[in-house]
Amino acid sequence: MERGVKECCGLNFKSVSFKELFLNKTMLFAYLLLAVGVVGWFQLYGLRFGHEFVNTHDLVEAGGAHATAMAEALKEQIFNMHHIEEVPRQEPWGIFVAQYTYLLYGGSALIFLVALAELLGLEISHKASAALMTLGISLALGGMASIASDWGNPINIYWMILNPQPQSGMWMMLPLYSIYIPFTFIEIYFLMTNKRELAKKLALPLVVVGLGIDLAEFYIQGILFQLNEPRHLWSDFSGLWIYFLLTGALSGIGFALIYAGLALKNKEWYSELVAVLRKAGIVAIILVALYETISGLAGLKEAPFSTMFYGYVIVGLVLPLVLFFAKQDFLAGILIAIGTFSARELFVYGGNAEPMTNRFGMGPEAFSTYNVAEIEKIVYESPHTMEVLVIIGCLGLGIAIFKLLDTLLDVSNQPH
Amino acid sequence: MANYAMALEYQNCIDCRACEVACKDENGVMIGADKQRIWVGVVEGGKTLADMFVNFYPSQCNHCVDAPCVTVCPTGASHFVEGGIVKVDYDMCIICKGCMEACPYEARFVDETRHAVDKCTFCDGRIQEFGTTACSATCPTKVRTFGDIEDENSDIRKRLEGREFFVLKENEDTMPKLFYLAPEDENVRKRTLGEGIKLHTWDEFSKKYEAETAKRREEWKEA
Repeated sequence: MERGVKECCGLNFKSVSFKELFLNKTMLFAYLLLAVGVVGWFQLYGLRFGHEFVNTHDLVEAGGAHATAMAEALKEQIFNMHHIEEVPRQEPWGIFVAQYTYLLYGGSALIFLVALAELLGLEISHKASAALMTLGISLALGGMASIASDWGNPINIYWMILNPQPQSGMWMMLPLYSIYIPFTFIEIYFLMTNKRELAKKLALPLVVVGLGIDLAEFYIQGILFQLNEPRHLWSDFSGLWIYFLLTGALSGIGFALIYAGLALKNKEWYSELVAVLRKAGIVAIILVALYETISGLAGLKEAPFSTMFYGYVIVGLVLPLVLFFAKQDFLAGILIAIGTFSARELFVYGGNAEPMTNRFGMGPEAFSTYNVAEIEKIVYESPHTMEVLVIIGCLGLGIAIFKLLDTLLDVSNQPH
Repeated sequence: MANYAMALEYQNCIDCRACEVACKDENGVMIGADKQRIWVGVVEGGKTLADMFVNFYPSQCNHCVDAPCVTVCPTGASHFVEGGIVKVDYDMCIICKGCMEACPYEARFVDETRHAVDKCTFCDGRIQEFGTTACSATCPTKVRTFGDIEDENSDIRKRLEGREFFVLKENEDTMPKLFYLAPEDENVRKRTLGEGIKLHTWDEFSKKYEAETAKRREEWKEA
């Protein structure tokens, strides 16, 4: 055993100083992103709980006792509500959900790909699997932070346990991730443990069960969106879970290429790993392009969706394909990561874009605006700065979790 | 057990919005132009002076028989109560906004004073005492007729048996319980209703409606 390494429960823990653990370059970068996120979370908290909001009963009960606060609240609500309210009813889900789907599906699909590579017996995957799985679950946790930020009153979440709703796709996330997250850590444990004999015996069952859980996850995520019947972009495609898996795999490959380019370049097997990722990336791009062509899922071409669409197609698919053939893999990874985020934005915002405008059967309607001239056919409200800050923080959280695990367990240097 | 619904003679609507004010006052709805349990929708159409028109149609939660908002709710905050009314338990809501995404009628909004999603309750509580909703009671042109759709002697049943009607977004298969009474004038119908809108008679509609109601009736909880 190396010096400075302590064994516990079959795992080698590196003995590191506080500075090494919390003040390395990656952690400082993660802190920067988290600091940006904290500003957003602070604003989010202030918006939800720090404003004086009133209803008519408050007005009656107050009876002049809090006249100034009441007047300010009234002024804010009546004249500025459009600018301060967090969620317009026409577009309930926004960039938090886009970030959730981006990081969670990307991370989960990366775990799925690693498990698949293990099942196929790819030699290179043995060397990088612990690191890539840890990266996958860390990013998935960052995605969960994003969805937790989206919930306006998460304190009531215990009702999901007290009052099970198995017909609800969102409720299914509770049992799913209660199994998925611990199971993924178990998989990582057996990839790294010193108990080699036990690990060898359990390897195949673990990988097979892991693949099954991954597929179940994507299937349930597909149901979650498809249950929203009026959002036809989401509900009219029976194979939505396949779309999530394919695009998630592409994101995951992008994340892995960035990680490999930053952290694994000095490994003798770096070229071999990148070659495998390149091949997987090309296959994923072709499959995603085929799916999009057949399903026409990303069919929204009006602004601002046209920017997201072409951002997705050109930055996320076309340019990376060219770069893969030119063997510019790191740059391809970066572009995939950017382009697939655009795909998630397109999917989430696109689902909300047009469903409500034709309620009475005669074209766009005035609703709540009190001004017929303000009717717009496409519903789109760009994310608040606060929301953008929060999703940057979620990415920072994912990076920080990964780096802490990497520093303590040295997942990037697992001997196999 | 009653099964509440509403018929709307929307052509009577003069867009005075007294119903919106009455709703806010009766139910303590949050103040703000976008924070409404009920509203008056506006649809304009036509291209020349000869065929231009404006439809004012009062609307709110449709209290769907097969309510997708109840199906998707992860905590059970959205639920049915007696009378087939869809309600939200504010103390159980996590504001995941899944119900807002699932609702075809944009009937739900986030109420920041309650820290929960809010919506029309058909004035549950008031109707037991006064027999009708605040919006129905206050309407100067009697647009809304509220009542028990399973009571053959109720006003709403008589209105639906005597007129053709349509529901909003019928293709979503949610079986809404807001019934819009079709214009009796054939020309007005043709000009002002969308091509996709299907007109129904109660005799023909009630069979499907009763079958769908039976499927989810057991979910109705005591208020």
